[in-house]
Amino acid sequence: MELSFELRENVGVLKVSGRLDAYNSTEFKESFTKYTEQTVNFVLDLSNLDFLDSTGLGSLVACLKAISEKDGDIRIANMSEKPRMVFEITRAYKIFEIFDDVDVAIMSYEAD
Amino acid sequence: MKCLIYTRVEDMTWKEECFHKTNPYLLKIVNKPHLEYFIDFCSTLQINEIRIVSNNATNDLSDYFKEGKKWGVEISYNIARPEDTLKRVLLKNFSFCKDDDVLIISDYFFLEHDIKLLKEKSEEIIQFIASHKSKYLQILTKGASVKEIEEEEDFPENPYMSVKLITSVMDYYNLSMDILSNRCCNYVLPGYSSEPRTYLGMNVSYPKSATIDTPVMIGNNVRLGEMVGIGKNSIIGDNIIIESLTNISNSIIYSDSFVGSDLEIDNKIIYHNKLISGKTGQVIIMSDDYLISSISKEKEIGKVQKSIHFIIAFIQIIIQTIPFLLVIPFLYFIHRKYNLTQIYYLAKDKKIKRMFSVDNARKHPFIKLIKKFSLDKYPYLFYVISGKMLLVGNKLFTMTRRHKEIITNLPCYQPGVYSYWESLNQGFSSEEEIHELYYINNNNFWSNLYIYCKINFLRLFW
Repeated sequence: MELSFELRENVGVLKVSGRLDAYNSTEFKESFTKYTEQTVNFVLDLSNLDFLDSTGLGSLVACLKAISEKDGDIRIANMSEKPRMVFEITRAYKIFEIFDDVDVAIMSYEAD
Repeated sequence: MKCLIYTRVEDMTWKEECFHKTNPYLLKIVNKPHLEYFIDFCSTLQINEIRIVSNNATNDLSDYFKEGKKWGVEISYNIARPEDTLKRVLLKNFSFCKDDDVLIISDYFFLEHDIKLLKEKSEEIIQFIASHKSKYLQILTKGASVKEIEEEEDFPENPYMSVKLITSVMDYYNLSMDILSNRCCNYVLPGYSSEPRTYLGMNVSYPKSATIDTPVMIGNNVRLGEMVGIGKNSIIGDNIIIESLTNISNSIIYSDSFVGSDLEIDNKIIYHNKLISGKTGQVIIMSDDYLISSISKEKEIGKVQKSIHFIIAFIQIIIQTIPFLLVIPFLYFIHRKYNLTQIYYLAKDKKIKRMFSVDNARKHPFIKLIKKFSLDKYPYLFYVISGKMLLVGNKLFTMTRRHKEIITNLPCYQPGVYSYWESLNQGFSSEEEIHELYYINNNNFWSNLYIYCKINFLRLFW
């Protein structure tokens, strides 16, 4: 798993590449916690995420839960086919806002 | 031009009551899924890029329509939150919408149209839709703001097409009958048609004594018994067996159904083991399999899987019987202090049972030793033998309010002696539902074997 982070218009854009699964979910959560020092609103760009399992999704949910307590949010953008299926079967799409464009996802924070 | 179809699934009590768990957009209207009519509509208007957005899971839609090659279109999918408005959905699909005009189809309705007229006057029709925005059908021109979206207005009357709402099973029934008897030429319907208003699928077998009247539609893999009468206005789906002497008319037999012998079926819908009146909407669940029932492949697969689980559990019992008998006296003493039992949910219907459990004493050194050799699993293996549990299945949930809620939300619950949850060896109780849903949707013979081996390995060497 590779993470790249940039701050755009006070929204943290976190690009997750590779796999997010049981082996690196803890690492993801730890990294995410560090980024929360800079902002509370995030857009996760999942365009290069090849694999997501239930533990990986669990870590996303845990991050969302943590950031919601600070009045922040995590929005998903550019989700590819395989992660989308995991979001569907686990009904995670009910708790995350999913956009097909990173810029619009960032803009949606402003619109709110 | 592109098309965005927002398959908004809202509370549809009639659909749940009659066609439980079937996606309403996959509900077959004259043997063809509802959504396929929209795709035909787009394809005829020469729209070849379609985005299907659902506020429910789209996996059953994508399993059926895949990438759309069969229809000569390119289909992509996206999901929305259940509460998302059409405007919000467009915002979430901005990347798809931004570079072309977009035809937007939203809400649950049937679009009555004539495919020949569509072909002849496609430009005229597109212009009409563009100038008459409605909550069901509208065109968002390239570069226009999402604020221009219409979410209230009804579709006006016009000579090209009309919106038919389906708000009850009677509407569904009447629409199907109307298409088959009066408008079958207006749509592309499945099956071979050697004479007007007769559609036959592949692999239909019927004896000489069977009679078939028109209009009729019979799907693929249908077997009719001796002297079966298929009267006019009958829609017979795929994978159906109809036993001898049965007469069917003005009825819909949904796919994967078995219809017993010597029955008189008129003005009815048969959906697996449900008998539904097309006139009143009355639903009867038939408990007699020999009258009507469903034909399910899953049951057969389930039997094979259960047999394999039985064999492995039996072998494990043979291996563990002597060691377990040796530890019983020690367990008895530990039980007096820690109570080595718990109440568990054994089935989706919340059937409960008090069973052996080492959870209360998991830190006890002797229990740790027992767990190392998986002897704590031994009493559960007998539940596998008796068919009450699987060897590998869902996590066996203890009787708590939260677990009860999780089981209710799961599409199925078949507890296993070993579970995916246990194989993770970590995880938070707040994520139990996610893991169980993941397991339900991804498990197969090999993954179950992997889980079984992994847990035993981890216990022995960790």
